[in-house]
Amino acid sequence: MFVKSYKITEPGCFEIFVEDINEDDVLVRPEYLAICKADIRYYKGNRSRTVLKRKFPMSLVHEGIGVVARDKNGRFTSGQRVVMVPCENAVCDGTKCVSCVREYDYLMDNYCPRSSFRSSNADGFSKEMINIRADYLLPIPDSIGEEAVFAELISVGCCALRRAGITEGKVKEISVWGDGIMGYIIALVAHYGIGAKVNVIGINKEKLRMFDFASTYLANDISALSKTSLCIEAVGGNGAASAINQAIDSSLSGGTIILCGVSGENAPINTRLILEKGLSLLGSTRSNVGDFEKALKLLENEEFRKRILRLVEGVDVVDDIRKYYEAFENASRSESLGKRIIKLVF
Amino acid sequence: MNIAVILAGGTGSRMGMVDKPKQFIDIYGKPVVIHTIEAFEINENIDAICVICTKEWQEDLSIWIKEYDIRKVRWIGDAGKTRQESSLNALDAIKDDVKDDDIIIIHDSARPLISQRIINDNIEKVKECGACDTVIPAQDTIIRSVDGETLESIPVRRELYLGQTPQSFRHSIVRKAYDDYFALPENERPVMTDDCGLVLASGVKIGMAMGDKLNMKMTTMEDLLLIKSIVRTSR
Repeated sequence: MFVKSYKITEPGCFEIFVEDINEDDVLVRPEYLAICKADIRYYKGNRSRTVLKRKFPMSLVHEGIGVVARDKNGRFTSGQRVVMVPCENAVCDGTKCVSCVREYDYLMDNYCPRSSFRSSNADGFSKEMINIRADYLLPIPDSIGEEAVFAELISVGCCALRRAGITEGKVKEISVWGDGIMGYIIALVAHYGIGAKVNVIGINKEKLRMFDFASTYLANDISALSKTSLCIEAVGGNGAASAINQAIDSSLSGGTIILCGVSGENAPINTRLILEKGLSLLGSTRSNVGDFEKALKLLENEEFRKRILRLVEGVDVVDDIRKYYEAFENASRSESLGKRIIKLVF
Repeated sequence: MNIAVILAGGTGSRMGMVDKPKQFIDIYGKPVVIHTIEAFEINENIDAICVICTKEWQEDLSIWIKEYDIRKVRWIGDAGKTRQESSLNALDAIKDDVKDDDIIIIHDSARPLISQRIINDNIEKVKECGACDTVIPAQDTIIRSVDGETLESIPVRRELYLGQTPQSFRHSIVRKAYDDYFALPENERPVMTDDCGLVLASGVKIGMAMGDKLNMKMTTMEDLLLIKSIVRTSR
């Protein structure tokens, strides 16, 4: 069937595409979307020319929920609201490639070179309709509204803790660096999902006030911060190095530091202290379906959901390409903690 | 219930093809009419579909409906000699299953690029007004000429729109308009080119839903070329 979409063809330039798409799986109409910093990097052209040339044209946005239009296999009903998981595991033919991750279940969905991730090496959700495997759709409970669009970010928080082997009650205290949306969500997941006391270290007093469920510290004064066995860096950009170094300083021997931020440049870090303390550094940004399930469970917790709702700064109906541009311009300029949600209408 | 009526009874004489009407031409391996039906098939607000086409194409249509696993088509009706007759045949085909309040969305099969938004806006507008036409604002100056050689007038552009489809109605409204129209002796029936003209003539106020330039009608070979060049394959 013919489907319209917005695709980025070069930095700062979107075009309308009409494509004849496959209908082998479930057809879903993307309804609410949120723009991520990774989308903005494509929009602004903040990736190497070679990378951009390889990826464009491509539909952006990988945070989204939609409405099932048709599922020929009957697992979903027409009109059912679903979270769309942006990664899709490659159907493995059994041949081992150089970077095969088949032996590591926890990596399969996202780290297999043949897997796809929307708005990265496959089209994102800025489409009138998408064809998606049923295993990558999760029904949204009635108690959850359009804030379910944050399920992807919440799942990334769940993923980080899963990767570090942290389950409920296992760690009493966690320190999180980052006062942006990722830091906020990871801190929320640690608090409500693990039941840990959470310390948040940031640089923006205003934003830190939103972390009213955690102990907050300004990054230039962490003398009162206690040492913990689990530190999470969710800063990224140019602040990544200093945050990671503070996390190394604040870690207990044998502790783990989870890196969730995408650094701008190579980050110089204190490897001597990592060796002295025997620390483990673990990279985690890519979640899987199980993490999304946990995210939806967390959203059913009223207190958790209320704090996620604070991130919704409004809903913009995007029913033409000019409004799509506006949404990207606004997201590029935004320095606030939350996001405006796109209601996509084709 | 919201019922889509797909009019696929045309002969495609303006395309120049003698053996195949335009709505049955393949685009990327699938007939145009199927692309159009699919847009309604996947719309969660559409409950059932009625397709009108000439008797000689009904078997092919049935095969395609099965082949492409289309499940909402409940009626296939005969095309009439005119568009009005085809619409009337559709209303007759569904008459045993339809209620007065149901919404009928009538669409040209030769407009395969219909968007989900237009279908939904039509339904909403009918709930509000009882009848709805899909239009786009005229961007070129429209010239009126009676003799085809000299200008008669240049109407004010901001008051002009180009009509597209769907045209949608409460069933009771469109049924009454058609019954009244066909109650007239044939030589007294005014010339109408679409369903809205007929409903408007019956004194009903018709709301407007904004169409889309891409919702173009495939009338000539040039249109087919345009549609084929717009659609890219992602398979």
